[in-house]
Amino acid sequence: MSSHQVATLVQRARAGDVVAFEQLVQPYLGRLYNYLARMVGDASDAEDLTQDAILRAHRAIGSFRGGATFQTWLYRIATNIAVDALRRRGRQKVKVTSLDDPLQSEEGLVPREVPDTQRDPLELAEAAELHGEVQQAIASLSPKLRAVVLLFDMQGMSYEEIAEALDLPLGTVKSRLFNARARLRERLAPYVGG
Amino acid sequence: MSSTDGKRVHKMERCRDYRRLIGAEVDGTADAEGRAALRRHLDACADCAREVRELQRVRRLTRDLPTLAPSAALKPALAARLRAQRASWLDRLFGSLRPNEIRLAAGVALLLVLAIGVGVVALHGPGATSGPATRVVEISSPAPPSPQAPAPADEYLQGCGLVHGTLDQDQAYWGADSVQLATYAR
Ligand SMILES: [Zn+2]
Repeated sequence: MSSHQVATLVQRARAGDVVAFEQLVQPYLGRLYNYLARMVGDASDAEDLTQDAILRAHRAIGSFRGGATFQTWLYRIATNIAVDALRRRGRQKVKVTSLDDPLQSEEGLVPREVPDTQRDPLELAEAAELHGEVQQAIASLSPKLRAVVLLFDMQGMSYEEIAEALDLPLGTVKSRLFNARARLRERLAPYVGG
Repeated sequence: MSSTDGKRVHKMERCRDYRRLIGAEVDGTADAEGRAALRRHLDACADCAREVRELQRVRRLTRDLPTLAPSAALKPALAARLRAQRASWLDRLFGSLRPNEIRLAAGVALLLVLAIGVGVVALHGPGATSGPATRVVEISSPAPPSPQAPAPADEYLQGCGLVHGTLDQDQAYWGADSVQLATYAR
């Protein structure tokens, strides 16, 4: 979507055009969900939080300034929503068990990629176990470190975009990313050591 | 301090200087000059070489996590809530024009605001611009919310702690953490 298209849709959304607002957020829904699911470690919570984030963005669309890109603005709202939810839930009591469990697929935890039928069940189970370990390691990070590493590695955002989304100096983004990786390295030593 | 301790401290300090380059290397953002400098250090320093290797594996693990997709229920649920939110928003905006009671209440509120304003002016004279004038603004604040007023997003954003650092303190930045890194890199 070009910045001109975004500006037009924002203008229409501000005037109360829900369809325009939906067109605006549609490209980000899946990615926001994935981000929130990894942030809070719970699939059904992530659906609620995705809705909350979009609804909050809808209420606040009047305050969106062209300076921030729409994407970073949305991620900023989503991050705040996730942090609030984690705070409410009680820090570090992140549920992490359900995220990669293939048995949970009916609850919406379907990895978007087409499952690799070439791989045997044992291999798939091992992969699921590893993903569970990685998710747990991510959940062990403070929300601040977690957000940065997810935005960089999973959402593919640049340092600059993250700095804008989280309202942080560039140097802080880099140092948090480094610290997050250092902690993950400790947690995941059996998988990355040697 | 023995001479081997001295050497180790010296080495740790040198390795610390490479942390930014190691970070950039792992993130894939290092420039050619930085990479060359780091390469020279890694050729001579097994600890940092191992650190880079392991951090790169960490990055691969986080990047390779499967993308999770929401259930099919998300979109319709969201569409319904968006429309409900818009309806209640319009209600707040134009609601006072419909039921008579609300119109009456708005009229009373307006009169109250005017009365307080007049009272303050009468008490302090038209020239009075100190304290009480600002209090009138506060008292009159139950005016209906305007959609053009700055939306509350910035308040939420600042309340989140990521903006003002009210979450748990950053336990470690570059300096604090390098001790730890050096400890387990040994
Ligand atoms: Zn070194």
